[in-house]
Amino acid sequence: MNARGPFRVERAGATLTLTLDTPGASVNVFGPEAAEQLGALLGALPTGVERLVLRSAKPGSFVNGAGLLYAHAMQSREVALATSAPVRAVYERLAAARPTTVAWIEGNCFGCGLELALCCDVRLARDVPPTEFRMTELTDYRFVPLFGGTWRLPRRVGRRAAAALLLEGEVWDARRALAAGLVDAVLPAEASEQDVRVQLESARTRTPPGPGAAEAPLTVPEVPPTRRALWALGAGLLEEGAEGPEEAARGRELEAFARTVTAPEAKRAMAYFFTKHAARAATLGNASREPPERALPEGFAIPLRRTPQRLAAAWLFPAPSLRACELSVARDALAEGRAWMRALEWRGVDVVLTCGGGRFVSRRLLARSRQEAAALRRAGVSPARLNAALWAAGFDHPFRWRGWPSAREGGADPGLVLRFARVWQAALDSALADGWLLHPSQGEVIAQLWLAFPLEEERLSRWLKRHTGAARARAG
Amino acid sequence: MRRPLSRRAAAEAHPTPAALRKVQQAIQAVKPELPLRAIREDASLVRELGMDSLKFAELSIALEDAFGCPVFLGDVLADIEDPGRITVGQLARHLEVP
Repeated sequence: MNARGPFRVERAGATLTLTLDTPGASVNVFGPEAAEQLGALLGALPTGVERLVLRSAKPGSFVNGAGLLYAHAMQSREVALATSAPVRAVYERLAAARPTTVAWIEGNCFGCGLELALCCDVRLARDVPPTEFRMTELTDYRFVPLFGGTWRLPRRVGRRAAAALLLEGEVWDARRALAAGLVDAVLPAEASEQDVRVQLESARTRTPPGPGAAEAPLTVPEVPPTRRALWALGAGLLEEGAEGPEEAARGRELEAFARTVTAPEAKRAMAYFFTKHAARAATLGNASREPPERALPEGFAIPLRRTPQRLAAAWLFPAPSLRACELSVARDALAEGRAWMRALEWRGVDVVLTCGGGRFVSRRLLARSRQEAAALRRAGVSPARLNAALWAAGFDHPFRWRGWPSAREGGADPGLVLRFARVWQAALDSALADGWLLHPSQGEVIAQLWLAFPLEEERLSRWLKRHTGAARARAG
Repeated sequence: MRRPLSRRAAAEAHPTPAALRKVQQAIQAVKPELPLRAIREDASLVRELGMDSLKFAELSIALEDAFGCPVFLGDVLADIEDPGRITVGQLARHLEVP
């Protein structure tokens, strides 16, 4: 009962509530300290405890990650297996716990957080904007999950829904999670703490839809060739993990994790995490992710438009849904821009706040790209040829640019991609020199979000350096 | 060329007082709840000071301000077998040579 760590422990009758509050962090991390404390608590449960509730003290985050530092530092299969073993053991201990275990999910429930919730008997969620369910391992970090994401998840929601989360990067809100069977009940945003406590005391698990005998075999989503093998591995694990002995599924997942987390692609993708969050820190400092002072209207669709004064406009990135935007403000309106940024973040939108006073770095990138494409066309290189070269290099949606043809013709052409990458870097450098960017990392984030720069290549400037060196070596 | 961030490098020499102070102040900027006395030269950033991946990203920016040059801790961390062992002094020693 007295184990020390980031969980606050409270007993009320037969219910033991463990409230996670990662110290000094804006979001919860289920790192080694949290795992150690939970393991100790599960190993010495007081008599009479019949219900164990996991919840968060942070309003926007249930669990966002498991401590990427440790995954980033895994240099060999043996280290990956050994480092992850104690945390894996805690997940299994939670799944086998004697009391009824309940996850109360309010805020981001990402990756290992979702897997933690899957180890509980019952999952309840509050229907507020930050309550989002995502499997980030493959889509953001290029490694296979290791706490049951490839087998507990398809057993719960079926192969197709699991693939939508794991392979296609879908983000589910609480209602979508309820419809898919991932959570057992959803409480409205306005539910009082008393309502929540009543639910936590009485909630029961629903019968999961399971993999479904009628489900057709999974097809691997179309991804650039650089990611095809990894996505096929993920699809295969979901397919096999949906049924059969748990022990075998666990073993396959673990081996795949150890192999993929140590690969250079995963190292580079994880390094991008630091770029992305450095860009946020350069903009917002270490601002927490608490409810913002400025609330966005219900059903908002980026209500910002170009105005002649200070706060300028938002420019949506060509993502499949509204997930990212560039917000451009005048430099003397940064405080206002930050308030909007936090409000948008709260609604799950990735924001790059720039200060071109209504002029957008991403639009400059597009303009330069079009100029270069026009020059190439005059030289006999079609947009379809360029699309094919970018696709072969791992860029997955240059053809989503507005007005850009979607056809692909031909194969890899590193020289062509390098030429384009130089144009982008020059556009970002000029935006930095003009004071539109607050920090170079913002340019890297724009390149990733807007150009779908491949995460397994880390970031544009490093990619350019690496490939420029390789091109020189080939020429020399 | 920056010095490699390894235990041996830290054992051989101490960072300059100026570099150590900059790193301590940068850590305190991202973890204001830490008293300066807790940010000892031999304190582990992760195990003792509670730095996680998000805090390392914030620390990159704070260190850039302190040292006046780009600092990318993601690259540094990729070369370390156990990030739990990185100390304040090792980081200062790594950063003091541009």
